[in-house]
Amino acid sequence: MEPVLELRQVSKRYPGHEAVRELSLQVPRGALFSLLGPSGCGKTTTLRLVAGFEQPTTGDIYLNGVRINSLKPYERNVSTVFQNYALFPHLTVRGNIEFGLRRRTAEAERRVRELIELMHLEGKEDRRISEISGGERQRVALARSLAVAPEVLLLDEPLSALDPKLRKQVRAELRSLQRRVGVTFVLVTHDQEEALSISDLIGVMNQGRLEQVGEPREVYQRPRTRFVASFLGAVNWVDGVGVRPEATRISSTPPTADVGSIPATVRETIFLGNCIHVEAELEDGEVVVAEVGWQDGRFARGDRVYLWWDRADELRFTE
Amino acid sequence: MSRLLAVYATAIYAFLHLPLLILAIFSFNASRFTVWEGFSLRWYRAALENSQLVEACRNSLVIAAAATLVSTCLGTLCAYGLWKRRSAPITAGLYVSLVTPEVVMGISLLAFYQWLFRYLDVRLGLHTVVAAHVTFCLAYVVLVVLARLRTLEPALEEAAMDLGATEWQAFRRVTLPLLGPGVAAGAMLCFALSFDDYVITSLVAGVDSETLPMVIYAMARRGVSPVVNAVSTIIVFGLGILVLVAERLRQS
Amino acid sequence: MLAPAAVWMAVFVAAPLGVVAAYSFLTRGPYGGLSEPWTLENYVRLADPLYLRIVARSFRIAAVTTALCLLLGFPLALFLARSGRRKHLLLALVILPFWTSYLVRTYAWMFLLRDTGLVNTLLVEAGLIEQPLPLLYNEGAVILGLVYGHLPFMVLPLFAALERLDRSLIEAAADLGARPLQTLFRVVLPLARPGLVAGALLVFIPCLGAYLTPDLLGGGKTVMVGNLIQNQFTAARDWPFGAAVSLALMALVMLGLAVFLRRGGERFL
Repeated sequence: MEPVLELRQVSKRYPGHEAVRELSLQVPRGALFSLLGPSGCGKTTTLRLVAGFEQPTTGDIYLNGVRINSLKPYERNVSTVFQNYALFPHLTVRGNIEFGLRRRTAEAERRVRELIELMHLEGKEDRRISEISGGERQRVALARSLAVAPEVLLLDEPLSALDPKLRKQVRAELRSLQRRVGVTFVLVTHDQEEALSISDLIGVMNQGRLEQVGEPREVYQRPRTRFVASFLGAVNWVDGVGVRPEATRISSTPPTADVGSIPATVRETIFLGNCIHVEAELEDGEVVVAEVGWQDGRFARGDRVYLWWDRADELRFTE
Repeated sequence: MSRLLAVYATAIYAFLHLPLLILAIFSFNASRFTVWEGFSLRWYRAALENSQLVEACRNSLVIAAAATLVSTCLGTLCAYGLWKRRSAPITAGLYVSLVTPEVVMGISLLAFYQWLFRYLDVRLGLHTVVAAHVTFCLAYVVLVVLARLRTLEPALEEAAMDLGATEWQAFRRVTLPLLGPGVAAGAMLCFALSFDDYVITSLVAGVDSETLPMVIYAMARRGVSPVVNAVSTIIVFGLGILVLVAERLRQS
Repeated sequence: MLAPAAVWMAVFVAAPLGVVAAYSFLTRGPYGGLSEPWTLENYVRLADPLYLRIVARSFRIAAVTTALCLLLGFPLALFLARSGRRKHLLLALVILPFWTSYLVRTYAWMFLLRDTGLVNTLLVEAGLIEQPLPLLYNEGAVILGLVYGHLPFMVLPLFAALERLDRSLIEAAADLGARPLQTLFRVVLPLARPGLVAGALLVFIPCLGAYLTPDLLGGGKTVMVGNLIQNQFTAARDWPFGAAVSLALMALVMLGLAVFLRRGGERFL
């Protein structure tokens, strides 16, 4: 099936700085696709290129197989949910949601009504933007963008403006919303937990380049580069080989099976509630973290131990 | 120390406001001398019956209205342009027109007009005054509108375009409504500045386009007349209310 | 977008100043018009002691006005910065008179200060003096009028600078043993300096080019540069000389603007 959105060798150059380098990706229809990376990696620029606020220096962008490079933002059937929502202060909730409707057809009106219900905004239609809460504002922004029935919905760091306590809940709501309406979502974030928990596909970006695209499990367990490995989660590096802390086990006796292992001295144990992080120092001074359950025995500072791991859990890179 | 400052502040406020208050009070003085002889409206009646004053007032209103209309349109567009894209020459030009002493602006326009009139069959009149007023009001309108624009999120216009509005529609449906109070404030400021101007107007007005400040000036030069007191009070009240409303709008 | 305003300013600001610049190099014609010989004569004439005295007077008046505005305005700005919730209302009360009518406000002082004006009348009635004091039509009256008209320009930037002051700095000074007056001179004033500079420029420069106040309150006897210029274009009919003086004044004003913008004055535009 044809991808709904495709970027082919897209680059964006500014004087003295290349924000996006030869980026190619395909977003399948109906997917929740996350662009994940640290700040400055070019993910927001990529989003803006798709929305039409920036023009690619080279490369092409296709929406439904049609090249949209030369189309203005208002000519593209793509809608953006801005990081700070950019809701119109002089319009009510309803006024905002209806803003993009070209004609008041019966179908459009129905869609608006459904969205208001879906977003639990009933009774608030006539409120001003200043009178509603942060969470409600995000829902208005979502409703507004969905009201124009876009092919792709772009979300710029949708959870960053929210209270940290709300984020987990809203994250889940975003996922179920996407499944309900079936619109393709392209989401930009720097939070790997967010990306891992709700995405169908993750594209990891670093310094303008797309380093890997894949399902969450694949990107986490089989990272293709060192950067992807360390960005998606913690990694212990032992002799050029990477092992995640949760795959690193501790034993007081040398392991006998065919596993990777290395001797170490316990430096610190940190009780985190649901697990324990044991920091152990290797002979070369490197510090390694093993994540263990609190049933897995107690270790004290100075203990000489053996860290071991399944060979299958090793992360090796050619770079 | 707070007590001291408060006392001092009261004194300064008195200094700032008393002269006008006293003028207003004495405009109701029955006598033409500075001794209070009872309350009377005779000077107001005299002012309204003075045909020169009324004619001049009408000229001032017409000029102010025309100048305000042109300045507000030019200034709002200019501020919008500057908000989107900085322009050193335009900004410099606006600063220059702000700091140029009124005398210099007046004589330069006079010299320019006289030079121009060698090639065009025009003379000094209301239109030359309006053009002069637009020139010195422009920077103030830009200042007020630009300050207002800077409080707006730039993402708002982008959001509008993202939802299907063209650049012009985004300006009309999102930016302009939000700018409304700022534009109105700028317009009122412009009206007040234009209505009150003496220096520039006196230099570029023709023979039959006398404005109210020009008449007041002539009367003041001749000596103090209670009719001037009455007219002054009316002006101060009128402009005062206008400025108050403008400030309210600017802050909203 | 910017084109209409640009065209307007080119025609009505740049061109007129250009014409003035050109005229400053011409000569006065026999009947007061303009005539050929292009010359620097007009600028040379500025060095005549008669005109230098006018320039010096203008500088003196502007300087005294600025100093007075500073002395009078600083405590007021301090009061405003500390006045808590009613700050903006009180500030508006300072600015409001300024926006009503400069002409009327100048005239109000004529009404108060003249020989048969209110001040003299009250003093005579109270028996404090026998003959009315010549309060009007002198340099003192001009300065008074200029201070009255320009005080808000000093108060506003001072207020802005003082309001931005971190209150905890003053508390820190007190904590370290400084008494209120010491804190004022060693902490507050130095930190408020940008506001002081801005205010000083916003008063001094316009005062240099003042016309209406010295004309009405000085009675034509206190001639400042502004009056000189106006005179050349009306009664004296010596446009080239008037143009030269104008250009000289503009040079000073531009210098002031440059300093103001460099020293980080508020970017209004």
